[in-house]
Amino acid sequence: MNNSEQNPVDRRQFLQLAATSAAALVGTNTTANAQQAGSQSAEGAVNDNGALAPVRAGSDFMLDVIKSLGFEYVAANPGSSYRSLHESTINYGNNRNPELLTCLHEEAAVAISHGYFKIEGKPMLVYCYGTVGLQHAAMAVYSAYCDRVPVVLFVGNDTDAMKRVSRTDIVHTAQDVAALVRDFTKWDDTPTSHGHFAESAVRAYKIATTPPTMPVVLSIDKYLQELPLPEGEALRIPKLSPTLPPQGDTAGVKEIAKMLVNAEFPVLAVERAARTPAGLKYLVELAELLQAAVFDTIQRMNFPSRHPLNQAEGRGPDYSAVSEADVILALEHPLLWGVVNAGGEDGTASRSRLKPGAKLLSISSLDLFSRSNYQDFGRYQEVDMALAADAEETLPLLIEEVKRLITGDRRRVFEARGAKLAEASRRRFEQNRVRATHGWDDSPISTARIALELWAQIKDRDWSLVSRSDAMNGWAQRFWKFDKYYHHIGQSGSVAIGYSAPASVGAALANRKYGRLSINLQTDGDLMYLPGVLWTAAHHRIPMLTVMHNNRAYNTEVMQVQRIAGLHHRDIGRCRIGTAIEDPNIDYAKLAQSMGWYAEGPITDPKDLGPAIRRALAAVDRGEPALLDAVTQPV
Amino acid sequence: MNHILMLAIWGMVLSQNAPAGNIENGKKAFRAHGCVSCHSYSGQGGAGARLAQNPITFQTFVNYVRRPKGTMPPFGNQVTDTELRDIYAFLKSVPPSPDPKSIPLLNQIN
Repeated sequence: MNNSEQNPVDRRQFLQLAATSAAALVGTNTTANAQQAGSQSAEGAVNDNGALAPVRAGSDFMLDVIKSLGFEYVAANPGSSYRSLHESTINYGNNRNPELLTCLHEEAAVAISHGYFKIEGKPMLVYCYGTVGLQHAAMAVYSAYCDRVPVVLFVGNDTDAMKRVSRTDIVHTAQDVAALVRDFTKWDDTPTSHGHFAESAVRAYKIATTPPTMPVVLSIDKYLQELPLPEGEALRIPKLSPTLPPQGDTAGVKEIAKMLVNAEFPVLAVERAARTPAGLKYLVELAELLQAAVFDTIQRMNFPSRHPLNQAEGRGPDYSAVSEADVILALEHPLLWGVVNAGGEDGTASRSRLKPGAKLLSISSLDLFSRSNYQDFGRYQEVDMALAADAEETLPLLIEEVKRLITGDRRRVFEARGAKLAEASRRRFEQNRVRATHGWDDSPISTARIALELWAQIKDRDWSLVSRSDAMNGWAQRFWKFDKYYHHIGQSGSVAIGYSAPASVGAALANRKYGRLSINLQTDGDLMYLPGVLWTAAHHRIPMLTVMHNNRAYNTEVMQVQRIAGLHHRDIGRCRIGTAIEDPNIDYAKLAQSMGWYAEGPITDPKDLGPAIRRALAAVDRGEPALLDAVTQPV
Repeated sequence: MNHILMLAIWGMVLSQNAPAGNIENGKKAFRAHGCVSCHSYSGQGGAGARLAQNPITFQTFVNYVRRPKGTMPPFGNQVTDTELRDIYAFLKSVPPSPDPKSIPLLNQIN
């Protein structure tokens, strides 16, 4: 979509430039420095067999830097401003570590890298066209920023105005290309030499992966990539020196431990507390030590879904027990105000859920880094103590301190509290079991039925939910046993439609080498933002099972417009105008088949679902992506 | 306790006294007025409450649809009395949900 426009003038200019560049390459003899390139003599330009000697381009050195950082993949939609990096990746680097993923949209490339990180725990590289490419990518960059996910973007740009030849060069160039996303990235730079690139690339990686983790951008000049390395240029690749995440102040941690142990009803409110599998383990240990209630917003796989201390209700926590809390510890939770307050919508007054005297404590790396423009930090919430630190890094210290303070008497109190919480969880589970029967045999199919039909066939396998963690109206969260870190990948961060389909492909790619079964519960509206990711999954042989939540509408928006029509005393029945995705109905099975997927549907009878899942899983086991178009109830 | 029981019996009496409605027309009106987006096609609930087989009186039902509390939009006079009778008849006609014990998939999740 952002390739050079194919008008005669541009094409002619491109050919002229190519001829000029080729002459320049031969003329400069392509010698780089001895440490990096080895020697390439002038007579070596044509060898005895008549073959042209390879040119050591700037982008070759850039690839050496990229390889040193351990990137497995680079996701990209092709663009001429990074064509040299592209070529170096596939030829000089032999398309391995990183391997190029062919993406059909820059937003897809970034969202694929977002989903990949959630499973693999390390960033994917993204190559991107400078202006139009980054503009396409911006929405996904914002999601990664809100979700605290590191994505490393290399953005091609024509910095030198004297070298802009074609219309494409001219309109695809910006003076400060990263400005477009600066409000929602952690750092950016525009290197002006190869040495500068090497330092900035390693620095970018280090900044992106230091909590709070976030996307970073490097603007890479087109000619810095394309021209041969200057002869004798001394180049080295700096060693990556990872920064240890900040641990909470010891005195503060001791005080928090004391308050938790002495509390009558302590609560752990968690948002992105578990950065790695270790975080999940620590949270379970802390909660069990204290027999504390856990409110998990499932932005990360923080806590097992069916754990008796988990006060979850499908799409998020059941906050009813907040009013009992005398101590609330928030871990990496930017939206604490929403935990301790209810209401406040449509101009109505909010009310505090807290009982008088309740103490609020916070451990968060977000206190170390803030941006102004995009206000994802939420309402300001007063707390009694805030530690500016990484929660996961601080938990071992907190656990040790809690262990030290627990006495036999306190343990007996904790056990009674734990029993009460477990009973509340059991009651919720039984209520959900009854709720799931409502509309069990209805057509369109209920989302509870889909979740349970799937669970029956995946529960004994090594599975991973690669879509939004609250998919199918939270029915998977209510019934599936999420207890491994890769069992779900959290949410989008930005609550943006269009994230889930590409993120699921990225996460499924990461799962592939571990032999895990990737399950994507896919809403129809989300898929139609970037349906081209279906092709990317098929092309790169990424096995995954996608089951559509096809309610033929942006149903949340239907309800929103209905609500406003009601407030305005106008026709509520007209609110599918502009919100429904029907007339014609989209045939998602045909869409997927056209891009190389095994697919069935539309499936409207719930009795057909189980056998269809069996057939689709057989396709996935053969290494194919498979899609089932299940037509569902609205919610 | 007796008080609650009496109210429940009174509710059932009122419910039985609801004017007869046309089930098929009610099903169409339930969809046409957009009730399905929150309550699902057969009133089994979702973002909104479960209405099918819900033993509230016809008059309570009418009052709530016209002037609800909470987040439900008020329908005022957008729904006619005839439509409300038909919708009520449709919701009452929805068969009871099966016993969870009779559904094997719901017994494999412990």
